[in-house]
Amino acid sequence: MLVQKQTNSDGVYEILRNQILNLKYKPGYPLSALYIAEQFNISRFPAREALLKLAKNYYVDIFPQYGTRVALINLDKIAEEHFLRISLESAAVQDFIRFHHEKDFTMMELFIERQKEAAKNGHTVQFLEFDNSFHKVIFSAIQKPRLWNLMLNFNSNEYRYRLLSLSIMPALMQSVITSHTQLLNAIVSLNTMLAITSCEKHLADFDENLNKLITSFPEIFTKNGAAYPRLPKHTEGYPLNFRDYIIKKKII
Amino acid sequence: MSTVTEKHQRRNNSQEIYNILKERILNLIYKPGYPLSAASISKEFQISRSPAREALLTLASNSLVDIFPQIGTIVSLINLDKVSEERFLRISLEKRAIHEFIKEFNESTIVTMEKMITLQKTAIEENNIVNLLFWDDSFHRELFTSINKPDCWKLLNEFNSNEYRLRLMALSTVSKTMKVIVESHETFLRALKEKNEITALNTSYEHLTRISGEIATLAAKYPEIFTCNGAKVLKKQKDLSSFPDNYLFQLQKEFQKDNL
Repeated sequence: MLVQKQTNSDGVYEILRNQILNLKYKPGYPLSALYIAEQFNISRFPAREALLKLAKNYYVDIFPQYGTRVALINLDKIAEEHFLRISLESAAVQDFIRFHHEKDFTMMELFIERQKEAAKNGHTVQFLEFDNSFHKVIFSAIQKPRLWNLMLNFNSNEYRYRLLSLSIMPALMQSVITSHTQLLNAIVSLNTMLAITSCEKHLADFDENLNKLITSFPEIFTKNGAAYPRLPKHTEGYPLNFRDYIIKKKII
Repeated sequence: MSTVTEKHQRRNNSQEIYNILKERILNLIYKPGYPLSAASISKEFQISRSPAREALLTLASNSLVDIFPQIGTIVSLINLDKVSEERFLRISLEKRAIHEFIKEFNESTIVTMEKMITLQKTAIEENNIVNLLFWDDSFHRELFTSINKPDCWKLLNEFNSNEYRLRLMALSTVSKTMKVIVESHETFLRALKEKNEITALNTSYEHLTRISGEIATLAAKYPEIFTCNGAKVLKKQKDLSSFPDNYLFQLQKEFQKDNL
């Protein structure tokens, strides 16, 4: 009996997590157990369980009087997520250069090609999926898959920020492809210094848009210790799909 | 259907029980491999099966226990491949933290870290290994706090269940390592103060990999508590008498006896 309930709320958790990451819900959106129960046709209890798990992993914030909100994009946490990523990736890349297989390079080339296709078709979410796959090859090759999973669960702010950036400036996808190509070339030529520099540069691919985004959507960003902004309390104040909304709005 | 208050209490209960069990597992009160059932947890803490099972599930999701379908739940063995991964994370993060710290730090952080070394010395005098590890961890945490990366530290602290227990084993069963910890920290802090990044990095690396040499000895002496990825699953340990009430205490007693 308990196992069945777990499956329900776990499945719903995964779907909601993906929807939050892929910006279906605008950061700050009021996400209630009632809404989840209705959307997924489940009872209140597993809906609440799913919400609690989302809160535990920082995808939503629970405010006792205010309700539950999809987490705002926290700029301080982006810095922490970058710190983790660059620390792990520079170390991983060094080991990868020492212990690699030809087939790993082939895989990485393949994912870059997939990214090129996704960029041509303007499919930003797919683009980021192939981006993840590209980086994952490195961690699988050095047999540290747990560390990759760790990074995946510790990037909810920077992932959404990257998706936001790509959605208003699709041309950025080209910069990412260039960075990946440079990184792969450095690795293939076994040039550790160049590989590490490429990693650092890659991390800065999305820096230029930050101010523009903060100006256009101040209400979706926050920092540690900042006061919570006044947000529409009801779902009518929010678009049905935030990502579609910002693409149509054409900020640039 | 229970009331909102009861459900709230149950959640609190399960969280508290989780914290207590986590501490017992990390501090080797429970010997790795010890069979931990929802029934025994219910009985000991006088709670119903549901929160007991919830606590066990949370422990499993944090790799502190392993749930085997036919066998039951056991306290996770110390997995040497996972130690390798945990160490990789620690070394990579600390390397970058040192780099950021040296770029700009303030004196008050150095003072705090000096205080922690003093507290480590006290712990050694009192022969309190758990306290020593606490102040050791606090020393390293200070590094991350001062560069405004507290979440990275929290991550490190939660992703170390194998490495932490290995350190505890090493300290409890091999005599020379305690003083070396303090000396390493002092050298490390001096290097940071003098902005000597290379010495700081080398000291940090040595410090974090110090017990590598002792792993083989430990695995030979206590084979039943270690494992690695892909190792064969154990048979069910029905005989609870092979598990002491406090494994760490037993280890320390044996060690003192061996060294008389």
